[in-house]
Amino acid sequence: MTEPVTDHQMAEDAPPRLAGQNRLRLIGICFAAAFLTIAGQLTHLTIFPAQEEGPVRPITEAPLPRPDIVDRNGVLLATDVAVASIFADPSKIIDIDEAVEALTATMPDLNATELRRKLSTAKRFAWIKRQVSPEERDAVYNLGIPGVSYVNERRRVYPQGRLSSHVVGYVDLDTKGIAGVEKYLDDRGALYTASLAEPTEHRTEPAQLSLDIRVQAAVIDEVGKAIEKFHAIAGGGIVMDIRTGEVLSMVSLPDFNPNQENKNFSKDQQNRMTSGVYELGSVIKAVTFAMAIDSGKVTLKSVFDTRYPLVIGSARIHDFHPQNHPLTTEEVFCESSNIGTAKMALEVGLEEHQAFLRKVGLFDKLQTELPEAARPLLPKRWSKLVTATTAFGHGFAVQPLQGAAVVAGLLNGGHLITPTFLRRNEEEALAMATTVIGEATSETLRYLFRRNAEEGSASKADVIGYRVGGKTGTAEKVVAGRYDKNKRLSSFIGAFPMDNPKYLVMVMLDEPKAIPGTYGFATAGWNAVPTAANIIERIAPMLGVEPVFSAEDLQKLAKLEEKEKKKKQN
Amino acid sequence: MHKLLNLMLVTAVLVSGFILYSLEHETRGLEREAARYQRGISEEVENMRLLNAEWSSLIRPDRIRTLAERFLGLSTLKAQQIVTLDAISQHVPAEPVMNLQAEGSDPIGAIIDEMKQP
Repeated sequence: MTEPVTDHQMAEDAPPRLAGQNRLRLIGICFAAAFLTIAGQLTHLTIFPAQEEGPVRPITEAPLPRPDIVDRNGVLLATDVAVASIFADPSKIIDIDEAVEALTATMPDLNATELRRKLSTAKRFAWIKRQVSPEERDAVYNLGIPGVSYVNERRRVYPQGRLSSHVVGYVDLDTKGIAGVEKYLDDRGALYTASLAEPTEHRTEPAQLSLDIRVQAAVIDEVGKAIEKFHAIAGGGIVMDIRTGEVLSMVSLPDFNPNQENKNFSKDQQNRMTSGVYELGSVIKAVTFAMAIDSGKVTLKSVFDTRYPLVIGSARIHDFHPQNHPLTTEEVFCESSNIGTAKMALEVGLEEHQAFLRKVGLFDKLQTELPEAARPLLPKRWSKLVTATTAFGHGFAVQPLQGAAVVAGLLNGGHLITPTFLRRNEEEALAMATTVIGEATSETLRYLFRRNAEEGSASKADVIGYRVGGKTGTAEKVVAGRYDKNKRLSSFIGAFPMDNPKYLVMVMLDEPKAIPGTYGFATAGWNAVPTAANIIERIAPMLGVEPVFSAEDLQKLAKLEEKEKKKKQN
Repeated sequence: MHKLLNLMLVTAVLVSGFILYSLEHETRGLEREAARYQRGISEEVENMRLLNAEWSSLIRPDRIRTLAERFLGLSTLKAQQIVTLDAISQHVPAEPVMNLQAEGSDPIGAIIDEMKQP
């Protein structure tokens, strides 16, 4: 390769030759220089590679896939699947009859007459069938009809169907979230969604929810059965981890199937646990008790005279079950005495009562990951009467989830935690919690809850072995601005195992009716409470709560066994 | 001298040309192969998504419950059916295996003995 260079040097010393020969040499030199450059560059690149070569990655133009949604155990709740949509260019179809015959033979659900009409037009485009499975797509493709083709599309599917309806929500035709967690992933939770993406590998980690689909199935089943049994118009249920605020299950019936094509859901199908506000009634007494006991003005030994209606101005407050003797704190709780609870709140004082309700967040809108959140309905002016009625949950309405969250905060040692639908551990929850009452007060409340399930209004919730505690509430519904005595909202909030509460269970039934088995009663103790008991019996083993039997429990069990034996003998 | 040089250059051009084209051909082949694998992978990924969705709809708890009730005769687990290991160990008879072997009617022991023999 160096020869031309020496040639060139020689040419300078030698006598001049023919002009054409010089030109030839010049070209030769140019070529040699070019080859040298290439050779040099090659050597350089081989010996010193310019940069580390990573694995080759395909560059895809498509947007990152929407994250899958899974429950706390990894069960798939929402995913994207590829679907094909089959279309035709009628002008290219040669034999319409043959095409119609072949297509209807492959896809039997197609309407032959309609298809014929579509293909007979002079248009250049007609959908034959949208969103078909890959098998159907291949079958149509293999028919080889000229003018019939397909485009690939993506479709969001919810394999768990109605089990995930309200929490997961759904997307529109352009896979944009428009309800539930799906909307959260697009809007406020966009940052969270972005953290799931792995653009280099063109995939997205699934979004894991706090939901447990097994618990959700149990709650949906039991609440559904209760609605049917008690002829209620609607119902709902919540199961929450008391220490982390994770919602394991949230059910609102009637619900919907997120897979259905037409998503014009009625107002009745909305999520009443967060987007509706309800007067929770006596369940709120737990808040009043927590406040009164925490203030130190009321102890378990305090006695309240509930023999006569409480008169404030022109209003009189009555009890549902009037007692003819003064009640202790425990009796006020277990008899669910309005008079006693109102007196308790008045003893604490108007200012302090308001301040406490504000502290536990009942005056503010609760906002979780779900976009559907309703503002609480509060009394406009605060007076002595308002304090008295608010004390037993009358005259102000909140989201049911909010009620559950507050009670969870009172029972877990006084740490109020905002509920979440995403995963969260105990440390994270404690870090963000606000302390609303002392540990000792929480302990007393647990005792009251447990007593109420042992002997009080929630005695039907006491599933033997799981140490359930709870508070019932039966509120009259406001119909056209007045309380209607015959339309009730019955609810139950409880927790288990009560010696160290881990899970909160809430059940709500809208307008349950008295049925033969309930001796004419339609109060919570007869409908919401047994429903909660069924739920607890089903979910406690799933959640790993070990049953413990006291001596009394064992006696009860022995009696039950005897009864069954007798039944069998008969 | 010039002839030899030209001959060498022509040979070099031909040889390098041949190497270049064969390399390119090989590269194209590899590229096609890579694209085919890539397509295969995305098809499999798509299949996995579909199968995952199908699996999830098959393990729907309400469906499993219905099946368990209908075909296995199972019902809701009662708290009293849950027994801890400690409780079980109290009910284990003292020396049943020895007795059975002594009586010569130990079916499981017989199977184990059979397995021990080569």
